Amino acid sequence: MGELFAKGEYFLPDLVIGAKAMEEAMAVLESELRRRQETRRTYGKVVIGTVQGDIHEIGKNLVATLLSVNGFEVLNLGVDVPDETFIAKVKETGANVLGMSALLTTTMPAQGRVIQALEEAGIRDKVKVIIGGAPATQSWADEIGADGYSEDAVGAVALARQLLGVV
Amino acid sequence: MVVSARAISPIEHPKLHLEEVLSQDDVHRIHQASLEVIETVGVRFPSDRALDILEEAGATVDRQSQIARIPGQVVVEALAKAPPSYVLCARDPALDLSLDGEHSYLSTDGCGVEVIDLETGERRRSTKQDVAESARVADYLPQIAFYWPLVAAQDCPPETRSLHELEAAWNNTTKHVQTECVITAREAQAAIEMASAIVGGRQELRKRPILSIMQCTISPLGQDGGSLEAALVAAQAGIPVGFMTMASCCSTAPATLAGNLVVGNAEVIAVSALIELAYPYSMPPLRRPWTCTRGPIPAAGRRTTSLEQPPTNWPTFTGYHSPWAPLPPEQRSPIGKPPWIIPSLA
Repeated sequence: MGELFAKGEYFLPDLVIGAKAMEEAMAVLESELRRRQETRRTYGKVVIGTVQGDIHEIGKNLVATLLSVNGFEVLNLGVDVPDETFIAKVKETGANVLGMSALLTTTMPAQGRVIQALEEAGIRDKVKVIIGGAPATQSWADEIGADGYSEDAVGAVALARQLLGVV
Repeated sequence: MVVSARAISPIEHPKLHLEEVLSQDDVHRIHQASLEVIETVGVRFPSDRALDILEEAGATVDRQSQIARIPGQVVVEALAKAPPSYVLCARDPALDLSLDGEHSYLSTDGCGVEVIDLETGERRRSTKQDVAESARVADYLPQIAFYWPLVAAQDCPPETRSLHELEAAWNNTTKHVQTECVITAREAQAAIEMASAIVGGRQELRKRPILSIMQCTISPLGQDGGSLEAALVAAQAGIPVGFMTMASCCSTAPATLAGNLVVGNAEVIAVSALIELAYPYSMPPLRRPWTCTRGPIPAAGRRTTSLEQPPTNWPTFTGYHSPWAPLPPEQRSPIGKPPWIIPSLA
């Protein structure tokens, strides 16, 4: 479905419906895994959220869902996430990837502030930072020192895989 | 006040009629369902001031969830106070826009974040100077009736960016200016001061509001607190305010077209009722529900058109939005929206 979405053949509702079906299937599978005392192997832990002052979450949730159904363990912090919460959760979970979304040009600077805060906390090299949101661009990612940018959810999954060296 | 010999080129006597898209029964059912949703499910108003106004008018308010359930009759009576037609004023009165049902107007769209530099060809983040230059182009073109700051002034502080955009606009066009970037009471107060300084005071501004403000809803069935406060400040000063739903099929609204219409319509008329309850006879340029549909422009256009049929004769503000239209890269706009002009139907 992701490929068809990327090609413009599937639309957002198709993706939402597909992701919802996959989420429900994963719940059944994970329940069975627990019963067998087995755990799902994941490619890595992702902490994701919409930055402080911004309450837009559709795109961010799509990214979180697609990452989850593509083998990542995802902690979705929701919207209007304070800078310090991102830092605390990255430390607490040992996340491999931090994803930050911003829909407004006025809230985008928070993405840069959090990256700066990761530096100051001495953990910048422990986590790959990916950003997204309508006003975000590759040049903005470069400017604030993010490790990657994707313009859509399908690309975000590929980006996370690439950054973690998942073949 | 200088009146020029300039003129806007409107689309006169638009040929699209309501009955060509939806029957009167369809419209009635959508309107009734919208009122039912407002009354039984409610709409979230994250503003104590807004909740106070609604509660006083008869709404049942849950302060914890900030949801107001407003009786349908209260909504209908409040909306009846909105004028059926009015004029969007320009600094140059020759460029005033009559919203009388017989004219449609085009405007710039807003809030782009990147531009291709005219001089260097470089693709870069937008600045205040880009707002100024695009306003000047829009001012020249007779087909552009009013100006939305086309791109964001990203070289200005986020807290005052909307005001910088207005300054750049007013310094380069004498047409009506509308913004969707004033989203706090403080920004609204400052914008009103700026507009008052241009026209000669608050009373003059009330007579000839050269500014109008658009706000976005938080779909499904919610409003943004800052935007509500800004809208109330603007309405108090006689500035037209309007609201556009962010309802989108299968994500923030039901999958069905009818369900989509009802959710979007409920959001817009509930908050428009709030404005009329607070300041009766305010002039909201009501924006009807539209759906952000991923798809080719023609498909999105058809879908949008079908959503823009008002159940009454209120002025209507509408737009073609297809920001993710799968156009070849060379045809995509640098601001991510293929059409940089959107129609405003009156």
